[in-house]
Order: sequence, then C-alpha cells, then structure tokens
Amino acid sequence: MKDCFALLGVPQRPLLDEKGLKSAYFRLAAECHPDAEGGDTDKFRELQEAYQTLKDPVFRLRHLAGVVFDSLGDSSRPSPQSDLFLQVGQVLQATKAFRLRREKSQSALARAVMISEGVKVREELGAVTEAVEQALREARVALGLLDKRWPRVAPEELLTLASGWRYLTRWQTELSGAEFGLMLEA
Amino acid sequence: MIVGIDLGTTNSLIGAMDAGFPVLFADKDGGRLTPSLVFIPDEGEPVAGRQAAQHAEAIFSVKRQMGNAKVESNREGGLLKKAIAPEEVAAVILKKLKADAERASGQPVERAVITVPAYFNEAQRAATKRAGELAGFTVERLLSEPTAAALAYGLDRLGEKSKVAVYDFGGGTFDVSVLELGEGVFHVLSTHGDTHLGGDDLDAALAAKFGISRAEAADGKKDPSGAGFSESDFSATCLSIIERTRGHCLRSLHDAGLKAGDIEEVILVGGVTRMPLVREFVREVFGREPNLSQHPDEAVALGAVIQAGILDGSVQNVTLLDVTPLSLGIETFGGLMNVLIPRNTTIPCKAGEMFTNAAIHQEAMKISILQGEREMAADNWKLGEFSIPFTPAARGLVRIGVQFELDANGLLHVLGRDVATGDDITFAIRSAVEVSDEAVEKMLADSLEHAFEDMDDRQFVEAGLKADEMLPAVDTALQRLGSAVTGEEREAVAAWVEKVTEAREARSLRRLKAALGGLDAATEPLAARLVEAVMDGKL
Ligand SMILES: Nc1ncnc2c1ncn2[C@@H]1O[C@H](COP(=O)(O)OP(=O)(O)OP(=O)(O)O)[C@@H](O)[C@H]1O
Ligand SMILES: [Mg+2]
Repeated sequence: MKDCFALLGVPQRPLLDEKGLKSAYFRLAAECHPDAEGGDTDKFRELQEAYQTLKDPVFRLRHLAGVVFDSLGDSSRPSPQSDLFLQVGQVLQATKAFRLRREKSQSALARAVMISEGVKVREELGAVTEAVEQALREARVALGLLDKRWPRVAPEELLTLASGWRYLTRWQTELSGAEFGLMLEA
Repeated sequence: MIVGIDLGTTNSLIGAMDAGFPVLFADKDGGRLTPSLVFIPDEGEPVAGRQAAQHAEAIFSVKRQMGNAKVESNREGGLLKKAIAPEEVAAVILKKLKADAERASGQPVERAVITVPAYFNEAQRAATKRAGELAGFTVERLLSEPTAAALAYGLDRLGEKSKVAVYDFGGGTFDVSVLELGEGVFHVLSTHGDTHLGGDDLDAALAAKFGISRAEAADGKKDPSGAGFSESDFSATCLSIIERTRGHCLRSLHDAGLKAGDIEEVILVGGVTRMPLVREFVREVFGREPNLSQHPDEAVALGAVIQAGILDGSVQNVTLLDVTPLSLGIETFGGLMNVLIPRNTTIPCKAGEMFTNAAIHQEAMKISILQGEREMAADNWKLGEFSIPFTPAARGLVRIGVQFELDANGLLHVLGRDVATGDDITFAIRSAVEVSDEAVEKMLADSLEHAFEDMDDRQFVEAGLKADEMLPAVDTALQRLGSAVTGEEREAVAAWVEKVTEAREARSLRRLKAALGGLDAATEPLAARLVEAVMDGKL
C-alpha cells in the first residue's frame, strides 16, 4: 500500500495542519504538473490522489489505519447515530415531497398558499442541519483527542470515527442540497 | 511563439507574451476587439470582424451554437442558404485573428491557447478545438475563461495568498469560479455556469419589453436613460435575467466549501459587468465591493496569453490547477448515472472501473458515457456509446477495465482493456453532433405520434389536476386572508369555483379550461396579498 503521508512529506498522524498540507501539495504540484519543465502526468495524478486522501478526515483516518496497522476494518460498519439518522431522513423526505408539490403546482394562488409552508420546511431543515453540524464539531474534538494520544490508538478507533464522520458529511451535503432546491426554485 | 486567444460570443482578441509581459495585438484598423461576426458570401472568401459587420446577413454569436450540428440562421434571423457547422464559422474568426497576429508580430503563428467558458461540456470543447485546427492552429490548450481572468489578476500578486471568486458575465455565457491563490499556484476549487446566459439574453428581453430591435437593445442597455427606457421597467427586465446567476454563485461557493465571507476579492470580467445593476447584484450576493481592477473585455485574453507563456516557458513559477466543471460517468443497469470523475476534480486526472460479463454467451459489453449532474442517465449528455468485444467465457470470468482520462484541456479519452488478454482498445469520442441528428429526429417523431393519439384525454386529466389543486387553495386563501378579502372579490371567486365544478361534471374540456382561467384571474389579487403578508411576517 502506498503511503500518502510520505508522498506529501507530512507527519503520519490523525490530525494534520491544513496549511502545511496545502503548502506541501502546492509545492509538489508545481514541480510535477505536466505544464512544468520536467513535469510528469502520472506523478501529478498520484499526487492528486494522495492530497484528496489526506485532505478529507474520513479518507485520511482510513488510510492511516491501513498504512500503520495494516487494517482496513471489517465490513460490518457501525450504524449511524440513529436518532439523528431518523431526523435527517424525515426532514429530507418532507422537503422532497414539498418541492415536488410546488414544482407540479399550476396556479399562482396555490403557490402563494404554499409559501408559509415552505418557510416552515426551511426552518426544520435548518434545525436538523444545525444538529448535524454540532455532531461534526464533536467529531472534530474527538479527532483532536485521538491525535493527542497518538500513537497509542487502536485502529478500530480510527475506523469508527471515520465511519461516523462519513455519515455526517454525507447528510450535510444532502441537507444543503435540499436547502438549495428550496431556495432556488422558489 | 504561442498566442493566446479569447474566442468570445461578441468579441474576440489575440495576443502573446512580449519581453515578459502579456500584450494584445491590434488589427489593421487599430482595434484590439474583433467583433465575433462572420459573413459568408455566395462567392469568394468569408470575412470576419468589422468587415462582416457591414452585412445584415452576418452570423453572430456562433459560440452559443458550438457543439450543435449546424448554424442555420443569420443576424436577422433569416435562414442561411447553406447550413454550416459552427466550428467552421468560428474558424473564420480565428483565421482573421491569426492574420492580425502575424502582421503585428512579423512572424508566422501556428500554436495557440484558446479560452472556453468553464462550463463548456465535452462536445462544446471538442468543437472549439476543431475550430482552431480548421484555422490552421495547433491548439496547445483549451483554457477556462474565469481561470484565465484569475491569471491576469494574479500574475503580479504571486506572493500573496488569497481566495477569490471570478464572476464572468459576457455576451453569451456566464461562469463563476472560486480559486485559491498562493505561492504561484492558481488552484481552482469549483466552477459553475450557464453556457447560454449572457448579454444576448438581456438584449432579447429588452427588445421584447420595449418593442425594439436586438441591436437597439444592445446599445440601449449601455445607456438606458438615453434610450428612453423607464428606469423601473429596465431594471425589472434586466434583473429577471441577472438573478439567474445567483444560484451558480451559491453553488460554486458551496462546492468550494466556503461561505461568501471567506472570499477576499470578487473579480468582475465580461462586458455586462459594466452595468451598475450587475455590480449592485454581485455586491449583494457576495457581501462585498466587487474588484474592478481587470479590464472587462481584455482580462480573459491576457490570461490566455499568460497560459501560452507558461507552456512555452516564458512565464515561470506559475502553476495552474484547473478543474472539470461536469461529472463524468457511465450508465448503469437501472438507467442511473454512475459517476467516475466527480465535477470539480483537478485535471488532468484518471479514473477507472472494472466490468464483468453477465452471461455465458455474451460477446461484447456496451458502455454509455455520460456527462452531467443528474441522477437519471437519460437526463445527462451522452458523449458516446462503445461496444467492447471479448471472447465469451463463463459468467463473471471476463474482466474489462474501462479507464477515463481527462487531459489538461478537459477533453476525455477512454481506454478499454480486456484484463485476460491485455488487449487495449482506445475509443474516439464520437462527437455528440453525429449522434444527435438522427436521435433528435426520432425523438421528435415519437413524441408527435403520441401527441395526437391522446391529446384531449391528457389535457382533460391535466386540467382536472389543476382544479384539484386550486379548489382547496382557494378555501385556504380565503380563510387566511379573512377580512382582507372584499365581499365583491368573494362573490367573483365563488362564481368561478362553481363554474369549474360544473364544467368538470359535464366533462367539457373547453369549459373547464375557461373556468380555470377565470378562477386564476379572479384569485390573482389574493395570491399577491398572500405573498405580501408572508413577506411582512403577518402569516
Ligand atoms: N457598458 C456596457 N453596459 C452594458 N453592457 C455592455 C457594456 N459594454 C458591453 N456590454 C455587453 O457586454 C457583452 C459583451 O461582453 P464581452 O465582450 O465580455 O463578451 P464575450 O467575451 O464576447 O462573450 P462570452 O465571454 O460570453 O463568450 C455584450 O452583450 C455587450 O452588449
Ligand atoms: Mg468573454
């Protein structure tokens, strides 16, 4: 397994200094970009992949578990935070149903009647988004704590944090997508 | 020498690096802007630019048709005697620019960087490259317009670190890109846009609103009071178009993982950004004064020149990390799009997928390549369809690897490999044009056939749905507005409601449509009052 940390020349640990990572990436990208003298497309793509891996905490934690512990985790992924999961699912469905109804609507009066409902849907979306963001803040704290204990950390800890984080970012994307839809189609 | 070219919808420019500085060439009339107009006479050489402008039958805004099969009409909307491919028309403009550059620099010019709207898809990019080749250029690079503008902005700020947005509103296309600059690297984080949104659309809207010609509208928007437009009509008409850029700005920020407040400069380019209304709009969306340091007409061309300099070595210590604007993927069994390269991935890049045979007697695998952001395969652009042949084997034994490669131009190359034999198969992306001609005709034929079959039935069902929606809405509106509805209004609404119900029972399409129209009109003031009440926070 190739080591993305080594490729970018950054320390092999859970928490990375974002600025340092970006700076290393910029420096290496300038060297191997195909437009540069002595550039190399394959090397550039490899660098690209490594940077994408390290930039995202989820991929980074998984990669770390793989490189350091040779552990990719078992396939039985821990289930997401179930109450939040339900909230996200419900509000996304409600939003989708509302958007569909508004899209199909054929009269100005019906759309006008729907406006206040739209405001409510948006508020609910906002509340759930805030809950997800709160959970993400907590995940960041957990990452910091793991990093403090590094390297006295079990691979499962890395993978569990990564998997919870992955759910959160995915929900965040879906929620903001739904909010865009509400806002822009109005 | 490599030249940089901005092939614009309205205006085109060409230039090259000179003693370390990007410069633009003037033509023999002394102008740096070449109007993107082409006149093709029945006999003799086609002409471009100011020479073409004298002819009412000149072709304009050909850039908006790049990627289509044919250009069919001229400036006046008249049909051309002979339809012609858009890239052939664009090539006439590029040839003229090439001659200007050769005259100005005193040397032959063969290699070029040409800019394209960031949001151009594969077919539009391929057509642009082809136009360059038809004009006798080796096209060294297709460069995104907002990225080019960022290069022009950032070249003398290489030491600084900052996050910037480029808002490029030109004659025919709109793009917005978010970039991070630092240590000589121009890193595009995200881009969004609309390849059919620009000054042309403002002109069309104004022409319709004020009953004037397109050319009068184009001039009038530069000086609305001089043109005698009423201020409120003018701004309402323009804003309805300008407003369409908002979603792209927000999405671009979102994709970059940034908030408006994180952006340190919003750079305006494109002729339309001269309008005070546009500047005001940008100020509102990004919450800051836009940066006007760049010449709205020239920044993109200067950026193309700088990229040319990067390629020929005359510009050093500058690296451009650009992205692909649209996701690329393949169609899966359920008719869904399976994304292999997500939008905003840094180019050049590569991605692959393994496929296996589903049946024993299968001899080939069909793979459809898609570009776009929609979930359903059919809603995206289909770039091509390939059939990969292989020797039949037991189910699951054949393994075919398909690899997508996006080059630095954002152009796609596809490679298929039979893992068992190691045979490589490369595919040329068949231009979308060839596919669409027949396909479009067939689609049209299909839809016409069905249209006549069940038109009345369908219309009655549709009108019924509208009635289902309106009648409860009327009740809710009357209840919510309470005393804000006059007795007279109530009576009128009630009368139309009754007519709708009657027409429905009688199953008369004509009467139902008329009654719904009447109800729409009668409830219009109620709808307006409801919207107002919500906005005022009264409901
Ligand atoms: N002062 C002005 N006020 C309003 N609009 C203007 C002004 N000056 C130019 N324009 C408009 O700007 C547009 C041309 O802009 P520009 O030259 O940037 O476009 P382009 O580069 O040819 O097009 P694109 O980049 O979309 O391919 C035209 O629609 C023109 O009417
Ligand atoms: Mg332009």
